[in-house]
Amino acid sequence: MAEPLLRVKDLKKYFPIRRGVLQRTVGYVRAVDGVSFEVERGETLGVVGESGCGKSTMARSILRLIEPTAGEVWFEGENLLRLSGSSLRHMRRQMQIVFQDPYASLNPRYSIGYTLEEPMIVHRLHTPAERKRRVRWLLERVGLDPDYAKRYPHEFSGGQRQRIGIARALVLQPKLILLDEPVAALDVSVQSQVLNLLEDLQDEFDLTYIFVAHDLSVVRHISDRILVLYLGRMAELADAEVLFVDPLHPYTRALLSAVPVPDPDAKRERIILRGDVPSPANPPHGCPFHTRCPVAMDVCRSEVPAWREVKPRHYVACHLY
Amino acid sequence: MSTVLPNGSLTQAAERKRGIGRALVKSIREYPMVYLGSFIVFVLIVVAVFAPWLAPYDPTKQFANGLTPDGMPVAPNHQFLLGTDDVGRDELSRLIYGSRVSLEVGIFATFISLVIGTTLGLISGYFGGVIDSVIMRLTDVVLAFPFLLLTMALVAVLQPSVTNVFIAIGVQGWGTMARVVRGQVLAVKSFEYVQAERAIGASTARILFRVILPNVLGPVIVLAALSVGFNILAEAGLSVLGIGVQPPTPSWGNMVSEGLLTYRFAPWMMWAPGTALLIAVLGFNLLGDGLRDIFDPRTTTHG
Amino acid sequence: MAKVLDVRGLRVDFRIDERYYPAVHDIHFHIDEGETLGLVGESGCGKSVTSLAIMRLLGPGTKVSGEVRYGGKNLLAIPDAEMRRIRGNDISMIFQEPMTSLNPVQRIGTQIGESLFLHRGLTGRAAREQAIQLLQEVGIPRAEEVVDDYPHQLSGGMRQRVMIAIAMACNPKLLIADEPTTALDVTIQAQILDLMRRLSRDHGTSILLITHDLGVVAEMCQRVAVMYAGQIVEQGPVREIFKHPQHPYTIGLLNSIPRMDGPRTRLTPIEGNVPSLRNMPRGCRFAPRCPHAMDVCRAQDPEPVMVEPGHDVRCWLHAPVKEAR
Repeated sequence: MAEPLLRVKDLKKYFPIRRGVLQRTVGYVRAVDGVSFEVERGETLGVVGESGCGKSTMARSILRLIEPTAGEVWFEGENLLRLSGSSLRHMRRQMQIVFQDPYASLNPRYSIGYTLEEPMIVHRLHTPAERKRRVRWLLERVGLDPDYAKRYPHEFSGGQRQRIGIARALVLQPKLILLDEPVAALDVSVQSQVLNLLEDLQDEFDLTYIFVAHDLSVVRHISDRILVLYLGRMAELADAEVLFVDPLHPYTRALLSAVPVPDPDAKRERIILRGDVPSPANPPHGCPFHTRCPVAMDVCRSEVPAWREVKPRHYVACHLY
Repeated sequence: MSTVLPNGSLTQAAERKRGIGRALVKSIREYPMVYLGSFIVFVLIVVAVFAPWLAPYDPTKQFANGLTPDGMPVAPNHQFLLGTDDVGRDELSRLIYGSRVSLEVGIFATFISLVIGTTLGLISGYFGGVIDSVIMRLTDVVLAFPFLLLTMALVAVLQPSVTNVFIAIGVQGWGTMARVVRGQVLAVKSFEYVQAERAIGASTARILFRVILPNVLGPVIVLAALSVGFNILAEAGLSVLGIGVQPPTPSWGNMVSEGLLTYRFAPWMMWAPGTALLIAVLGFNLLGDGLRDIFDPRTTTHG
Repeated sequence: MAKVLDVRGLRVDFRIDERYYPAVHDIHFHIDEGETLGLVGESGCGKSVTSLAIMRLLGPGTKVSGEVRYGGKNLLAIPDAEMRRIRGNDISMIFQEPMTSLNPVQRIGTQIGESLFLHRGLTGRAAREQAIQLLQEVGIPRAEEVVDDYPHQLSGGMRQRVMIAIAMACNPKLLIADEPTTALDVTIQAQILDLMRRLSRDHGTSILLITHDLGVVAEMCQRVAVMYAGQIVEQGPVREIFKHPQHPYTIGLLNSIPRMDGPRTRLTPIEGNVPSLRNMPRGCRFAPRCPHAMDVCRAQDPEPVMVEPGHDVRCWLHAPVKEAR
């Protein structure tokens, strides 16, 4: 296989915890704690995990919307974390993001047309007439009436806004799009419209996706490979088909078994985990999952399990393997 | 609240203006106090601008018949509608010209606070960290310092004049503005559309001025309206103490001050400027409070 | 089986700009003893409004009509004082957001004790012991310590357990759960659903489970009512609804969700968007999005029709032929 489009190496993001009058740093929240993976051209990498697993922080750190603490993000032969100023802004044309909340992610003061035109203005692309034409074309492409360009965000429903958000991500013809819970805020019947749209656009524009979500059935539907995060660390990475049929990590197993299935006849063995996700400010020693793991051993409490390829293309961090 | 935009050849800007205009008309109907406040402010501005045409006489002219034979101010009559002062000048003319000073000080002082406060608030809120801490501590100092004491000191150093009075008032009024702007910036900054702006490669300056600033202006306008009222009072206070606007330039403050001395036998000399001050401050406060109600989504019935 | 709750012709109107719009329109359903009924639908379909109307918790600006029969009485017609005795005692409620439904400045024990005092007159040591026992029952570890904690010291899942403990304090006949697990992670959701199932079985409590998640319905409920735009478009036993859905909306909903099993095929979405309260379509409210819409659908609102015993559908496709003309 050719060089991957994106290579993330040992990415870390620690948020300082400040206390007291002098705002002294008393500790760190390890939101993302050493994540490494590659994304091939044209594939969709799903990233799943529960709240506090760092999936959203990770996505934003890759784009440097949040400044990562350490690590490398290689994209098209350049380490993004080394870029600054105009070269960083230039690189951002290649990678775009779609946010979860279609209400908060559009500027209420901008018309839809301006929201879509702005990226081109910022990068000084095209003539004004050409830009307007592109906006209309994009709106049509994401399934909206091109005349909507004149309207404002408050006139649209959540699903329509998310289409606008997707159009904005497409304006600069990026290679990679990070989708941060793009359908979580949408109604079930609208979710599927947006998922289908994303699939169509991927084919049409040769896009590569990183799809971050907590909804496992959605991630299974759209992803080629899936990365499971727990407490800012990687638990498992495998092809989507493999992961759902043959999950290796006890956490992945519990997670998959916990999803309610819309079939009253489905009889599945449910693994109910004890307790809550520990605080990332004070993660457990050893394997971060050992406090809730039904098969934890002594070694899990003391040693961090290594990240290993236990089967071809199937990676897991667990002492069982 | 959904505004239906007309389809047509209107430009986007015009469409937006129409939307805002219509909303404003609607709000005024819903908030009559704003209407009253704006009316008072409007009248005040008209009086100040057209003072030379509105005032019956020159405010500094001492009339021969402006004093009673025993040298007392003349009570209100046909010629002097509000009476005269202790040196025989027409009170009404002085009152009309005095509105210029009051407004000038009120507005310019507010403008100074606005520029300083908004700039510092924007920087403080957007960049955070050490910059934020330094600016906020500075704000604390300004807010904690006794207003009158500092103003008196400043005016004493700068020499009392209209310009120096509004500079002295303006350079300490920005504390609240900076805090309010900073709070707004922190709120707006967390919206994803600001992150989206960074994701498309927009520069910091663009984000600050084109995205964040318009979103913090609402509360700033409210504060500015309230602050004009406060600054008018501040000028009056300084002038009463004799360190504000100096005679013979008429200001409502120094008129009250003169009236104080003759209150027993010429009460109109204090009543006239006192009432004018009351109405002016009331006008700006009503306007500010009303605008706050309009801008605050929690007090609006339609979200 | 005896009906715990019987809702007949419930209608809720919201006032927007001097006009009333029906947010809930002529709905009928009942809940049997010990049964869990799922009320599913998308946001804005009126499912939460329905539950608040039953509890008489809707604020001013709303008009409620119809009947909500409980224990031989119409809850919409009894005096306020009597309704207050029923709330929390006979019928209790848990909400989606366990953070905002607990008072942040009161200890957990105090909040459970409040309900125990109001409805059962328990105070002091007795109330505290009862509170600890309730916390243990909902699976909270170290209940003796947690009883003195404040809500912010607990995680989302723990807070929802506390909410359930408060709701179960007086052994209600009916528990209304409005999206109880939506704000929680899947592994925590599994814990809470498990808990609710156990409590319902042990105490014979009926549950009205309001949710948008068809998976949760399939796992928890015996019967389902599907709501769309303020109406119940289909209701019946859970197997019937999932295996033989009749209403085009139910069918569309089931086809549009991605599956955890089976091959990954392209999704079949329902086109269009949920109508807003102010722009309700004439006739059948689903007609503009319905692939089978006929002329009659756009002209006239269909009545519920029974397709099987206990399985009702509100759709012209299933109306007796003579009515369809």
